[in-house]
This record gives sequence, C-alpha cells and structure tokens, in this order.
Amino acid sequence: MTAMEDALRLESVSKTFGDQVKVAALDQVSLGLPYGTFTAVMGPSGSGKSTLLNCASGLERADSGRIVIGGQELDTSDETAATRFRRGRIGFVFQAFNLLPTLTVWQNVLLPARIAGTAVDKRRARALLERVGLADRLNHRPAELSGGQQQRVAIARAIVNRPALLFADEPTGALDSARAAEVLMLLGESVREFGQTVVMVTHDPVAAAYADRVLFLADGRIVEEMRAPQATGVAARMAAFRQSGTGTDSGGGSGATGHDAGHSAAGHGATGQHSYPAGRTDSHYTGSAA
Amino acid sequence: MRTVSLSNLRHRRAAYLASFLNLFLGGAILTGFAALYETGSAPGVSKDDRSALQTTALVIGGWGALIIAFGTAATLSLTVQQREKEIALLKAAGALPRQIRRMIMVETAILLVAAAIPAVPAGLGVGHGMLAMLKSSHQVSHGVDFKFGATTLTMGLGDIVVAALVAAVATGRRAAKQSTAASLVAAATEDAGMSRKRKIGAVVLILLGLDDAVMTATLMKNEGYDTMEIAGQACILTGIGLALLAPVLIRITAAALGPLMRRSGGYLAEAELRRHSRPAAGVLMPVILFVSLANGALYEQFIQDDANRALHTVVTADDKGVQTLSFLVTGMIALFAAVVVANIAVSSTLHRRREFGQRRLIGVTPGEVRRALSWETCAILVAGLVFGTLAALVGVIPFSYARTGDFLPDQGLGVFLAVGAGIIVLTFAACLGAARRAMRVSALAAING
Ligand SMILES: Nc1ncnc2c1ncn2[C@@H]1O[C@H](COP(=O)(O)OP(=O)(O)OP(=O)(O)O)[C@@H](O)[C@H]1O
Ligand SMILES: [Mg+2]
Repeated sequence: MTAMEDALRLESVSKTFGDQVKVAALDQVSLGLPYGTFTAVMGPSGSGKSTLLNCASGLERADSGRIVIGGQELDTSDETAATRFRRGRIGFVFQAFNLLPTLTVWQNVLLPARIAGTAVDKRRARALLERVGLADRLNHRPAELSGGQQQRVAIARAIVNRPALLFADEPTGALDSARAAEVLMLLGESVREFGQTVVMVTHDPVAAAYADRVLFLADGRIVEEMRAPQATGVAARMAAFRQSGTGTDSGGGSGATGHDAGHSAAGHGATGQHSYPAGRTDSHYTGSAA
Repeated sequence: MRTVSLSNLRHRRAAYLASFLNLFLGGAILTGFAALYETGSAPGVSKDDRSALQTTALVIGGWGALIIAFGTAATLSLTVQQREKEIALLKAAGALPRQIRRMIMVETAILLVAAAIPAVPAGLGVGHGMLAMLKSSHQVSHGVDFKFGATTLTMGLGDIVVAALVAAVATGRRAAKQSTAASLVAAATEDAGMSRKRKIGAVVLILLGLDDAVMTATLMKNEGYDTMEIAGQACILTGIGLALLAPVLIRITAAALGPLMRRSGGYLAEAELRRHSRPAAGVLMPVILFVSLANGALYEQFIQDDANRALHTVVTADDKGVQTLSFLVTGMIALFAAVVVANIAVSSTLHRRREFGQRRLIGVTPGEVRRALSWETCAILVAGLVFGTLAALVGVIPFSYARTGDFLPDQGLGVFLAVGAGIIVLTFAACLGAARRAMRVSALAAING
C-alpha cells in the first residue's frame, strides 16, 4: 500500500541517563509527525523535551526504539554517516544557540550550505537576516551580539537551507514578545509555504499556540496531545500539570504512549497567564530500571 | 552556576601533565649539566679536567637553559590561558585580583615541587652518564669523581624555578588585570593581541641574535669552541625572538595560504587562524624553536667537525667520542623542545573539544573537523619551518663563513630534511591524535561537559 510516510516517526524510543541514579529522560515514546506540520512540545523543566529533540535528530543515541525520518531509519552508530544524513535534511535551533565564535553572522548563516556542499542561497540568507532584524549586523561576531540577537542568527542558520525537518529548542527563549512573534510567524511560513515539518520546544503557551498541535511531556512520556491549541487552553493545561505534580509522579504506569487524559484537569488556573517562568519545577525522579 | 573548578580540573589534566613533564625534563637536563660543573670545580681536579667539564656545562648548558626557560614559560602560560574563562567566572563571582594571582602562584609552586623531586635524581643520572662519556673519550681523566651538592641544585633547578615564577607572575598579572566583563568576552572570542612588551622583547632578542651573528663572522672568528658557542647563541636568540612573534607570523602565513586553504576544505581553518590565532601561535612557538635549534646545532657541529678534520687529518677515537657526546647533548635539548611541541599541541587541541563539538553539532563530520585541523597544522608547520630555518641560518651562515670562508656548509640538505620530517610527523601525530581523543565523546557531551 502507499501509506503516506510521516516526516518523522518515533517508535518506542527510550533514553536513560546516569549510572547509579537512573533518569529515564525518554520512556517508550512513540509519535508520528506528518509532512508540513508544526508541532510544539511542552512540559516541565527536565521532562525530556531537549532529549526528545536530540534523539529524534540523531544528535543523541537512543537506548532503544526506532527513529524514521522521511522513510529512512536513523542510524547513529556511525557519527560520520549520521551527520551526512542529517545535514541538508535537518535544521536545528539549539537551546544554547551554538554559533561558531570565529565566524561572522553572515558566515555562520551560510555555514550549513558550505558544509553540506550545496548551493549557497545568498539572497535568501540576506532576506532572512533582514526579517529577523539583523541586516546591519552581518559582519559582527557572536560575542558582539546580545543573547536574543544570537538566537535569531541561529534561527536564520537553521532554516536558510529549507531543511525538510526543523527542530527548535526554545527558539524564542531569549526574545521579547515582538521578536518572538516574528520568529514564530517565520516558522509558520516555513511550514505552510515550503511544506517543512517543524518541531519546537517551548515553555510559552503563546508560542505553542502558533503550532498545529501541542504534545505535553512529563517524566519522559507524552502524556497529552492538544490540537489547534489556544494560548489560554495551553496555559490551563500546564497549570494543571503543576497542580497534579506530574513532575514527581514516578513511573508505574503502563509506559504506553499516546494520549493519557488522566492528567488533564482542564479548568484549573485557567487565568490566561501567558508565560510562567516562575512555575518551572525541576523534576527529580529515579526512573524505572530494567 | 557550574561547579567551575572541579569540572575544569578534569579538562585541564592534560595541560598540567604537560607542564609537569616540561619542568621535569628541563630540570633533569640542567641538573645534569650543573653536576658536571660542580664536579669540575671540586678541589683536586686538574686544570685541564676543570676546563673540559666547565666548558661542556656552560657552553651547551647555557643555551640549553635559554630554551628550557622559554619552553617552560610557554607551557605554563598556556595552562593559565586555558583557564581564562574559569578565571573570568571566578572574578565575576567576586574573586579579587590578588586572590587570582595567589591561586596561580600556589599552583605553579606545587607543580614545581612535584617536578623537582624526580628531576634531581634523574638529572644526577644524566650528569653521571655524561661524565662517563667524557672519561671514555679521554677528555677528562679517569680519576675525577662525580660530585654534586648545593651548586648543582641551585644551578640545575634555578632556571626552571625562575622561568616558572616569571611566567606565573606575568600571566597572573594579566589575568587579574583584565576587567571582568572584558575577560569574559576575551575568553569567548579573540586574541588579546600582542603586548608592547612582548614585541619589544622579540625585537631585542632578534637584534642580539644578529649581533652574535656578526661577532661570529668577525671579532670571534678564530676562538675555537667560543665561536661555536656564539654562533649557537645567534640561532637560539633569533629563534626565541621569532617565536615570540608567533601570533603575527601565523596570521601572515594564514593569509598567504588562504586561497589554497579555502579551495580545499580549509575554510574553517583559515577563519580560525586569522581570528583566533592564539592556540596555533602556541604550537608555532616551540616548532620555530625546535627547527632553529636542531638545524643550527647540528650544522654547526658538522662544520666544526670538518674544520677539526682539516686540522688534525687523523680522526681519533677521542674525536669520535667528543662528537658523540655533543650530538647526544644536542639531542637531549632537541628532545626537550620536541616534548614542548608535543605537549602544547596535544593540550591545546584537547582544549578545543568544545569548539569541535560545536562544529559537529551543526553538521561537520569528525573527519572534516580533522581535515580543517590538518590545514591549521600545515600552516603552523610552514611558518615553523620557514622562520625556524631563518633563525638557524642566522647562526650557521656566519659560522660557516668563519670556519670555511663559504657562506653555506657543504653537508647538503640531509639533516635539514630529517629535522623537517621529524617535526612534521610529530606535530601532525600530536594534533590529530589529540583531536581524535577530543572527539571520542559525543558532540553534545563535548558542548556541555
Ligand atoms: N547528558 C545528560 N546526563 C545526565 N542526565 C541528563 C543529561 N541530559 C539530560 N539529562 C536528564 O534527563 C532529563 C531530561 O532532560 P532534558 O534536557 O531533556 O529536559 P528538558 O525538558 O529539555 O528541560 P528544560 O525545559 O529545562 O530544558 C533531566 O532529568 C536531565 O537531568
Ligand atoms: Mg531543554
């Protein structure tokens, strides 16, 4: 049969950190993201969001499970092969920006194309940098930029080549709301106009509302999914998680994936608060062994 | 905030080991020469024996001391430079400049003591061995007893102690002086540039080297071993002077090789060399020194041997013995310089694991990281061979002229090629081996660790 391949599919992906104290950063996560979709990933600090992105993009090796990108299974056993597979297909906005300090803004943005040996679309690069408000900073080096400016360079770098799959780890974390809106619109356009598939981690319900759907992560599992999210609804859900203390909820569950409605107690704290930096809780748990 | 010191200590292990090894080797070699000197100055030693022992100790030990002091200081300042970020964080957290200076001082003192303890017995072994060689080639009579004492200790260890303390004071002062914000930015990016003092020092050393060269060819022309000593000094002083200019030299070389590098995948290497030249300059310094010292000392020895042969016509077993000893001694000091090259190359490459991790995360394969590094290494070697040879010629040309009337020795390029091949293999092996090790951890771990 000619089933539509997903842009990204995870099958029972698990990742545990630590030798003595085991932390199950990802616990049997399965998901499928169709082409041309915009997905937000939310969850308390330490719930495994970055690990999910790192494993899905091949930056981190999962302990078990399968990751399929555009119909091809990801093989991380050989770094060179995995890197070759990744570049050209996957863009990544890192939580810590990861710009090369000796290169200028302009050189940083053009670097992925240079590395991959593909044609450098200078016009697009310039347009993107203009779009994120850095047209007059082309010859600056990362250390001469503010955190938010660096983040915008990182975003331009990740999308300039139009990768089929774009991962963004808190891409608006260092931006004011106007800049954040601009960046989010840019990501939305990539999805609608170029059919890119975007996965974005965020703590901001307003940002999440730009996505087609939101996945909620807790203790390394997807505990809920919300389609066509609204900021207020997302905020309410997040508040509910905090109330029910998901962060300290230790394993025991079926480990199944999908939509566990058990945690959702919609209605709690639906006060329409749009950001909640103070609400982040670090979850400490010794995840399931075996 | 990260637990600064603990996590850094782990990463700095290589740099500390490098410093330790340098101090140990330098201390041992110089203790050996110092013991020869003390053996020669003991009462009851004949005038001829005394002269033979003290000349060996002072002539070769003298410029050996220069090289060892320079190598030690270079390695120690690298250790401190690699901690610039940590020091910046400490200052941001409220550490006073005085506390930082003291911290660097205390650590240097600990390293010194740790290295001196094994260096003394090792050095006595070296001295004993050299005395045995001098005896067997009949340069020193068999009745001379090996002696060592306070003089040996002060002469042997004084050099590394002074070099280490000067390096500690200088780097400590620089680290403490920078404003907190400036040092964070500097740690994140660029070269601090070369200080005025450094430039003046370099020029003065080069001028002294040239002065020695002129002396070799004129006033000191017919002074036997003294001529050779002055010619040797010409190489070493010019070499150290050029080594001090390494940041400039590496940038010039990178600019010259730029087009070639860009065309063949060395794009990142070029950016690195031109915008962040300090690590490469750190490796270049001892490379220049090694090339100038090895070429200078070896060719001068050949020229001298030829001159001796022309005088004596018959080559005796003693002549052979003298030659063996002087090659051995040159070899020891060249070995020291080679160890400095390897140490600095390894520890500065290991220190770049984070930078390599950044590149890997954005899609550069480990092989491509190594290729870019190979380009950097090429540029270092080109600069090192060119400027090191230049420094060697400053001594060799006048010495050859003084002994033979010709400007160039007729030994051919064999030794030069061997020295070049040796340093090329060593530097590549050190850089690429360390890069392989630096990339053994995953890119994410390299970024976060
Ligand atoms: N390299 C690592 N070594 C050990 N534990 C790790 C490592 N990386 C992540 N973890 C642990 O795995 C869990 C998930 O981490 P992850 O970074 O994915 O969280 P996150 O959801 O992205 O959090 P945040 O919102 O704070 O960025 C955490 O408990 C974290 O401590
Ligand atoms: Mg994260």
